[in-house]
Amino acid sequence: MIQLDHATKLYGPVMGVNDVSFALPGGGYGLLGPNGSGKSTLLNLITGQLRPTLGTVRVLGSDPARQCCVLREIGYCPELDVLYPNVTGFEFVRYLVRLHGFAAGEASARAEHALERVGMREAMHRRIGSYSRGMRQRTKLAQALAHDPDLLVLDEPLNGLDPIGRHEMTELLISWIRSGRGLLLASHILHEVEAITQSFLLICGGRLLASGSAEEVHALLADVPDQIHFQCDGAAELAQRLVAAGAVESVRLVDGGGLVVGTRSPANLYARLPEWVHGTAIRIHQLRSTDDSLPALFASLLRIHRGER
Amino acid sequence: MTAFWSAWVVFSFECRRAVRLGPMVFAAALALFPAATLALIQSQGARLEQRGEFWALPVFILVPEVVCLLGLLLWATPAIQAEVEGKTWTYLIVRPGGKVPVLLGKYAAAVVRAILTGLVALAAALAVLHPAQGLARASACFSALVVLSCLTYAALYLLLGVIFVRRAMTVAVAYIFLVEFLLGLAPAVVNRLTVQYYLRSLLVAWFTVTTAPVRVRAMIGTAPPWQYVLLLLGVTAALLTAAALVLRRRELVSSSDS
Repeated sequence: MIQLDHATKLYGPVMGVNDVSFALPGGGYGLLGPNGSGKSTLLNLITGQLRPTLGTVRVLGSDPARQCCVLREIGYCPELDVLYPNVTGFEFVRYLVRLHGFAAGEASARAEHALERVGMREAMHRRIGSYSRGMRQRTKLAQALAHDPDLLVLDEPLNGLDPIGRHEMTELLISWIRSGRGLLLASHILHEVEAITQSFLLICGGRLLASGSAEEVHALLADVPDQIHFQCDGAAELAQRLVAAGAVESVRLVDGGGLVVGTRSPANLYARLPEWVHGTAIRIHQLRSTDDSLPALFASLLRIHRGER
Repeated sequence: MTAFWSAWVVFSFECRRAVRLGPMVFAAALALFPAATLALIQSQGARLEQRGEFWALPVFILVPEVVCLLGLLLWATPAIQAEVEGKTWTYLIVRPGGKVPVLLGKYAAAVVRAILTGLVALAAALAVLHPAQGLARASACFSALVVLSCLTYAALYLLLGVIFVRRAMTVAVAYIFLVEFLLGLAPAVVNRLTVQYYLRSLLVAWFTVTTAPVRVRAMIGTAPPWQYVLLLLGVTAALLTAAALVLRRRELVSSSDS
């Protein structure tokens, strides 16, 4: 479906995407990365808006930057949500559908159907300038779906949606994947993507750090120290006990009773923590692991990438 | 086929967007500006229509020059800039037609708007002057000048807008003042590099002005009018081709991390 071979994109001296190679067969994929990690640049390469400085990009067997006809099979929903304010949602979607070569009547029917699918039936004839952010987001999604593409490329499609809207769009995207069509969904929120697909590409600093299923990514991280934050009375004493027990790899005291430890076996630490603090003056008020958060995941992956594991 | 279809779709969408109260009021004000100016001049007892072909000069300056130039400055120059800065460019170029049909559709829409405004302005100006003789011929000549002016200047503005996307208006205004007005009015060969020279030459040829002073003759050509018409159409095609080539090479992306 999508094949990148050593694709690199430079904006002058700035690296947008750095030597990315992968081949995705059909199905749904989540492109995860923090803000500014190169996700949008990668999507712009895949949708032919940018040409790679080095390497090649092929989508559905064609180079999207040179063979524009392949764009007929791609539905793209960009992150930016600014649309024509004086045009109705229906007119906007119909306009973009017509640019795919559909006659006016067919384009109108497709625009109406797509807007109904994303829950915009009532508001489709209102001007976009009067829409909420969530409504604009739904309209953007409708224009990507309306021409019935084989591949959907979505950049942060759930931004600005309320919880009900998120649930509806999540269901819609799950059914899209089940229908056998392709989806590439960029987001910086892990659980958002996990709810839709279990196949990930992790990108940071313009580099592809890891790819695979959720289990494969977690397995990759199994040997990487997790960071655990404590907020407690007697932080120094707790640090002493953890070091003496050999349960941690690093210890850092933070102002205001904070303690940050790094461990390769967090489960063991959690299991034995009561035993180490029992009968002491140590009082733990808060314990927070960052191992599930995306920044920690990417920090760990970057360390692996640099050979610092 | 896809490219022509896409250009037509962009053109019809842009035309529909133009038929709104704000743009219509602006176009009407622009169209009535020459008539209002001429009425003011006439009210001072100028009687322009009684001074041979002299009345053609203010009409030429006000309609094919001022009205068409101003209209196109606002409608053609920022055609691409508005989409890029309005962040709607992305939606248009991820379609099978690509970027060039968007450019051509917007060009056609800007030209049609400017021609219609120019023709209304011309009708109103002639209604104020009501020249005693040759009204039909004057209408035909000025209509042709309006059409040629709009076609050529729109292509020129569009090219400037594609090269200098972020500063399109500033560059276009500077170009018009420095090249079209200062250079165009210079009594030297260099004025042949301006569009105005050829429009002016056509005006003189079509109105058979024979009383022009010697220093004015240095600012007009004496070749047959069809040569100027062909040259202007050729320049238009060349400018549009250049704009399309520049746009195809440029990577204009509105996204947060690029």
